Amino acid sequence: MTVPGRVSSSVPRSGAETRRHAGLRLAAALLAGVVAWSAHGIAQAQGTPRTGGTLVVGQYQEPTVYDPNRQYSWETYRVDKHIYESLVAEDLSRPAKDGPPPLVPALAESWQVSDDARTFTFKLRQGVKFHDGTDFNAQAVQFNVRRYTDPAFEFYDVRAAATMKPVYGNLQEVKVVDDHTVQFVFKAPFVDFPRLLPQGNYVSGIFSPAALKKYGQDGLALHPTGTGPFKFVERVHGEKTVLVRNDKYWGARPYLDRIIFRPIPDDATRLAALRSGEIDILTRVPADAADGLESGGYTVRDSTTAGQLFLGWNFRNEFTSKQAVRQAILLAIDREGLARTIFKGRAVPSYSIFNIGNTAYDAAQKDFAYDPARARELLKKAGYKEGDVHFTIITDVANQPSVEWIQRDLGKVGIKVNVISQEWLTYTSKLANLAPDTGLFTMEWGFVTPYWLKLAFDGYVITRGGGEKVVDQAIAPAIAKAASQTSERAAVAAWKSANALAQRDAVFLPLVTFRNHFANSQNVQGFNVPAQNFYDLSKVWLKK
Amino acid sequence: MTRAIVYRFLQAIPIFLVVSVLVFLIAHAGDGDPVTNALASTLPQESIDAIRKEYGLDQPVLVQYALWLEHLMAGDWGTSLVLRTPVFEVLARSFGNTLLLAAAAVAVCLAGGVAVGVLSGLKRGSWIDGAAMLVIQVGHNFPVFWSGLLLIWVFGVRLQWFPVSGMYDMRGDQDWLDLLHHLVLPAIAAAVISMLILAQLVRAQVIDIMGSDYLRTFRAQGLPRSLLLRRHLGRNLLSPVINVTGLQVGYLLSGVIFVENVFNWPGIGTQLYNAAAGKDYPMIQAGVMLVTGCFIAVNLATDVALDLLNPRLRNGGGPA
Repeated sequence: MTVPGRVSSSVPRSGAETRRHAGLRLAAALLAGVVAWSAHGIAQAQGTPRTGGTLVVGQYQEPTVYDPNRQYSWETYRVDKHIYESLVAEDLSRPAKDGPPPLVPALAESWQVSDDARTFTFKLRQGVKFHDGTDFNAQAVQFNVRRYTDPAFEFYDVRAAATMKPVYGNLQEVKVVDDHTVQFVFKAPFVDFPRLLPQGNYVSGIFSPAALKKYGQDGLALHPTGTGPFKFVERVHGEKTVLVRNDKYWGARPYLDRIIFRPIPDDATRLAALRSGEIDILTRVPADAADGLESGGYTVRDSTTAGQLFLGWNFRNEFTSKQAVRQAILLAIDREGLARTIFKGRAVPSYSIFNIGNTAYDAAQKDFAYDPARARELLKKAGYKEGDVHFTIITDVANQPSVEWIQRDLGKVGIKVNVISQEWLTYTSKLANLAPDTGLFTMEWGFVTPYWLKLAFDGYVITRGGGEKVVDQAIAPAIAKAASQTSERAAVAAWKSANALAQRDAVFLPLVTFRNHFANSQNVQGFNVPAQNFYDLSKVWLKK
Repeated sequence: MTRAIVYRFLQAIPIFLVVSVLVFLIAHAGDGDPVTNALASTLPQESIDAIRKEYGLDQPVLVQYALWLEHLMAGDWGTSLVLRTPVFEVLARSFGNTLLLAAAAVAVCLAGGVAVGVLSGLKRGSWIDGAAMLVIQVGHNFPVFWSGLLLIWVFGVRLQWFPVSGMYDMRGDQDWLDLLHHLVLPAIAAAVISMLILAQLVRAQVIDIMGSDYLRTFRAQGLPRSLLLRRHLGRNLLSPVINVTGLQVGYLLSGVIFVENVFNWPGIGTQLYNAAAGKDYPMIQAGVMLVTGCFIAVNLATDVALDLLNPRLRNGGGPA
């Protein structure tokens, strides 16, 4: 369904370029051809796309805030990625089995990376307007970036800065070269920067500076204004978010008139809503409902290799701060059984923080296989008797069944676990300040590149978990070394050895990758679930 | 009469104030304050202090209470700490939705309860009475969410007569007919238990009244049955029905909160549950005050209605 011109016309023409960039362009050109060809095939198979109609998406959580630099959940990003766009996008029309979706131009038509991978120069698309009618240009990009990097800036925002730090923490400066060229200079090599631009956490989606000035730091989320294929109409908490087509969109015109996102947290109700036709797409298919949906004529999408369910440790807890305890816990949890039972076989057990869709994923690189006898032995050797080790696991309600599985398994080796389960918004508001009796907390994501190890380590081991001084001191330098490689390929080996150290010290608790995240009715056409945690609805159309 | 009603109103005020103090204090009894809980590891202490000041959390408790009550009266319910949006915006709308559902449930409860009760009471011992009693005995043991799911499965998914989630068809006109259509299943689910309890009571009352000496005398004098039913049965039922309905509204409101969850009805239940779990003070306080206000109003209305129906109060004098 992609209009072929859209991608191929964006391949830059200038002669001055680095060699790496030339390779990238060749890849982009080839890719454009492949996309156009395969999209053509899909379009033919499904008939002619029809313009019009309202698509209703049933989400499993209430979104957080529609402020790209402050949001923190997949369901939020699945909404506002249609409002805000980043300089670079991923080709989300590729099926999940193709692996990480390739980078494609978005608000930047092309970009150049310096040989030391510290300077990134973006040529911006011209003539693009924000939904409020103001111009998108290099000054707007700089305004966005200064909001979360420059404390001297009038519109600097502490919350945004805290959220965006993992990506922009090392930024030296952001320069306006001319109206349509912007340059980012980092203090150290940052080869993963372009890949981080279109991600759903630390979102670099560009908002309208005029909107921020008009509505204020808190107001942007209530009046989200970007350049994307859909415009924000209204949000009613607990009820819906309504988007309409942006008729002045710079890219291919979306088919849908409107998209309505409805939070329906109750699994049974969300399923009933799909079956009675009240929603068209359902997020997070309960594992025991997948077979029934398939035999009922619904399409269940096998995906989410870009993420996994894992748990982070609280290194300030007296028990989970001990390596032996962490290792014993990993040994004691039957992850195969969890995937087979709770997820009815529609999940894969995880033994590494690298998710399946990560370029550094290696099925052979495992932490600890299930061995409850050895777990008991380790605990005994560390001087703990039956019932000595006890802590709380906190989770969002959606992952409560998995946590209860862990509770049961740990009970078998004499570890007492208390479970606290809360709705997502509430759960995450507690994550920043873990109580001392909390031992573990659930998280659900992953990443397409190995830079994920650094994000997860900095985010969950150091910031959330407070494990900086507790964990093996060789891990941080190993990660820093891998992150500072100037070529992605050379970096993979370095990332894997850093991961080996992290695994041995048991600094993460990977659990499962579950696959049936989305289901849709037959009325929905052109809906693709890529190897990402989100999707693009601008190419979706309705049969009737 | 007027004096009695004014007296009832005056009684409600101290109750409201006492509840407001309790609500305010309970929200402050937990450990830690929400700003610190949410931001401790992401922001430096100065920023946290600044935000605490912005929300007035650095003031003494008594001052916080006075300010809060003043703002509450003025319609300024503060900003939600978790959602970062004005509490009024979130709660006013969702509370309206809850009231609508509760009102529909009361209507279903009254209509259904009285109809079933009167019918089985008049036909005491018949098969209709037997069937009704069976349904009542079995039915009022089912939890609200269970009957909700059953209704969804049968009338929503299988027969597709009624929608199962939300208040409007998102693709449609979203007019009042659409709303009524969406109200049917949740209102029945919320009403069913109260309705059965009411039916049981009405049945007992009907049997009692119809068997009373004065009605037997009237019947012996040859008064027409329709007159007896209208003038004597109807009027004598009114008081107990209003009384029990008033009591059931409380039960109904708590049932509505489950029903909201099952039918994805955008009411106050979910908002309040989340607010309580997240220590979202402004939200908890405003929400509980709203619900409390609602209870007080319903009790007041019940009392006033009973006063109005009481012939002994018609010519002045305070409540008995």
